[in-house]
Amino acid sequence: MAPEYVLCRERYLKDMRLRIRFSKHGPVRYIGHLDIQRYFQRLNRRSGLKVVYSEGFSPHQRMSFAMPLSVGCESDAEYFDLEVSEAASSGAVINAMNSHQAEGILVTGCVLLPDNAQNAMASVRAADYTVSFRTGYEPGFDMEAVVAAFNASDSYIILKENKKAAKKKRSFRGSDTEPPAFKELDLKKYVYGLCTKEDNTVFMRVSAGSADNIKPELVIKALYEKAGK
Amino acid sequence: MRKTALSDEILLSVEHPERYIGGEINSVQKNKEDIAVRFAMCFPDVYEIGMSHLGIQILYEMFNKRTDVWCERVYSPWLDLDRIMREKHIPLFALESQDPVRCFDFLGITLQYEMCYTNVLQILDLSDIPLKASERDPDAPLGECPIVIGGGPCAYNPEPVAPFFDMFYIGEGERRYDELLELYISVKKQGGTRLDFLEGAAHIEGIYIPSFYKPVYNDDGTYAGREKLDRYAPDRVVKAVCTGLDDAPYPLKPVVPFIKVTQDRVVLEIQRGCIRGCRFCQAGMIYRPVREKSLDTLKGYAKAMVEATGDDEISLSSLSSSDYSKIAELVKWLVETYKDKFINISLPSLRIDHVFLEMMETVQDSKKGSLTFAPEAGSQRMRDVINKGITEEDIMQGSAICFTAGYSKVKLYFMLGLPGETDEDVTAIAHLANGVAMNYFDTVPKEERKGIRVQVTSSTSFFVPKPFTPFQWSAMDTPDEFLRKAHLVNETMENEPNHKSLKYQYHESDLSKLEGVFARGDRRVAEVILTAYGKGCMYDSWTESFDSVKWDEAFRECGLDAGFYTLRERPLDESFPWDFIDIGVTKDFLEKEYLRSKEALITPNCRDKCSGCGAARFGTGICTVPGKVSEGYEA
Ligand code: SF4
Repeated sequence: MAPEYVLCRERYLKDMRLRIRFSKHGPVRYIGHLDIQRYFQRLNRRSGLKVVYSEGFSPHQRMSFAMPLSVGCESDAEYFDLEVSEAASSGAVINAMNSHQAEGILVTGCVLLPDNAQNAMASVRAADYTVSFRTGYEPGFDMEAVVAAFNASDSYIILKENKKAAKKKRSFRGSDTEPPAFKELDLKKYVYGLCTKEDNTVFMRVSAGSADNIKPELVIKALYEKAGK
Repeated sequence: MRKTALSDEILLSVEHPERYIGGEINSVQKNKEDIAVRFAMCFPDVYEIGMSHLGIQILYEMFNKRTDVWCERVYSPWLDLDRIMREKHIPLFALESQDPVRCFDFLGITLQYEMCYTNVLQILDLSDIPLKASERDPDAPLGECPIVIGGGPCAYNPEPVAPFFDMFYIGEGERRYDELLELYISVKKQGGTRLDFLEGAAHIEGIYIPSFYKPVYNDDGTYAGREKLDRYAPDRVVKAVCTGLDDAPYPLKPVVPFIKVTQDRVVLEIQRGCIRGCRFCQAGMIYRPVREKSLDTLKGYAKAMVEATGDDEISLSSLSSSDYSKIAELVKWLVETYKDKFINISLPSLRIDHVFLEMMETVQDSKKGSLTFAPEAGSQRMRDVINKGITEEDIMQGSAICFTAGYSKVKLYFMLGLPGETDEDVTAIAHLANGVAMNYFDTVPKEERKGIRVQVTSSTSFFVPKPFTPFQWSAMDTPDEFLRKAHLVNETMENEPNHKSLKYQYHESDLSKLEGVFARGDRRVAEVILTAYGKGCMYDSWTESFDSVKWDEAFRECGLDAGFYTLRERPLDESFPWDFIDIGVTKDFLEKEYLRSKEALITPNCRDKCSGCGAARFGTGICTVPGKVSEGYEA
């Protein structure tokens, strides 16, 4: 459990930036990123949090999410930053929010950010994933051996779709200096940890964030390729 | 954690899987073991539409308040999931428990518009319930197959879908459902059959059991009446009316969807019914008399609902909000209470006048959106025919006020194909739009226009005569005639002096034809619906899935002529299949109104003067204002 912080407006005399951590399990994993944002806007109001709103004609809550989570994925820890003008303690924020949740979503942490802290999105460096296989879709090869081979290799070059280039390509139209829509990438550099577990799941820690975001699918695909599947 | 009825693979392959997972905020979970009656409440359209409907939320609240009932929600699976469910034989399920609808005690289906009729069949089909009530075993013990019950405005002429339902609930749900549920529980306890329950239910006011009657037709195809097939079948069915709206159930904790739905805000129903009596409007007749909710009730609702949902907008709901006697006071309170809480107030269906504008000024700071007027008809003569108590002067004054206040966009709503409409009435639509645009130039001096061009958008819909309106005798235009009139409006508009400021939109006409048949159809129409469904018709109100060719085929195969239902001006002495329903408003009154419409005579609204429509017998609402109700009204 996260330590309890005392959040007190008198001490700061200005709006506070909180970093909220939440988990998402069960059927709610089908709620997409935009809808999760809407969900939390409503949750904040139901919980009676004193959220800071932006200026202008259509004020919105000052809230920013770290990373979108793919539809269908469960998560132990997702993050967003929230500006509030008042809050008694991190525990009070957590309690208020959790007493108005939908089943499967739970706030598990809340800390006060220092003034110079980067926003949630910029703070992301890596993500941990556990990949489990649905019945009938288990890998038909020795995953443990393939993972060991992957870990032992010096590099693993894959082709990753270059989104920027792919977009540009459309606007280039007909020029012969078209940039490739795929770029070569050494996956090894971005996989910080990879192992199999007794329950036949694959655990990985991969680069994440706005710069080099590696989706777990990419790693699994590489493992299947390596196994010759 | 709850389990979903659909597998991961299916949920990941369909559009908006959130439609099917349930578990929304304020959705109700109960322990099935403690429940006597499981009720599946269905809106036969896609989730986003169905979830926006207030009526279902009211019943959901009312049913779930009972500890012995668990009410869950069901919506039409969208076409992508529909295909998968048929392929893989996955039964339709309710959202809360994710259990198959087939194992429920009731399947309630609300009929909000006629074009959902094939979706009713989709719901029954996917639930594995026999499509026709006659194929559901009357001697089976209760609980074997859900009782299929219909309600909503289209239930006021239930005949076109009568064969698919075990019963209809005519009127306002708040009133009689408890009685019906008690009856079900006691019959089930005694080991009674489906028929036992239906016969008992026939005694409850507002309940109609279609299988207890057999319609009879004249040689010319018109409806002659009906034969009773059951000893307990009553002659008439009186609509259920809720008399104490302030004490009636209301969804103070409405379900909050995860996805964005059409009505995504707190809805305050400020009154039911309407004082106006527009002659084309079914709601204006079937919800008579008008009943207001008190200011205190509404304030309490707003507070509770905002707290329970976290919504950032409150919207008022009623047929004509300006006629609510304390509208200005209510809006003022809402604005003052919520202004600093970042909660918007939206005010639909208001008359545009000074009071309105003052309210608008308090509601939105300086964002000038577009304003909507619904003159419904272009010429004054036609507006008198339909008893739309709005004059050209009202529109000009209203729009002038708006223009002066800085608005530059106006929307105008009209109907085409109204009874007795001439080409002059049709072109008057374009002239009126032009007049509004001109009004802008007259009202706003050049230096204040800031280069903004006034924009007047007119849209027309095609008029469909509805049962229980003074136009229930009227003929409807053919689709070709509709289109000709729409083109005429367009052409006239292009030739107006201010045509650059005018925009015109109209909707397709094939859909209207079908709507016309369903609205005033008889029981024979059910066969056409069944046949069209068999050909794959579904989601007919969605242009992407509406297939007029299949419908034409279905009519041909069933040997029915759509024109018989829509194109005839019906004689005054013709019996209608819906005559057995008593809505309070008498057929006599409707007939008088129909005849007055032919002379373009205006009838005053209920507040100005009672016209003795018949609804006073319910002893509630505006009719109980002392000295209000008169015996008749002079022509
Ligand atoms: S009885 Fe009179 S006051 Fe009552 S609804 Fe009819 S016309 Fe209006």
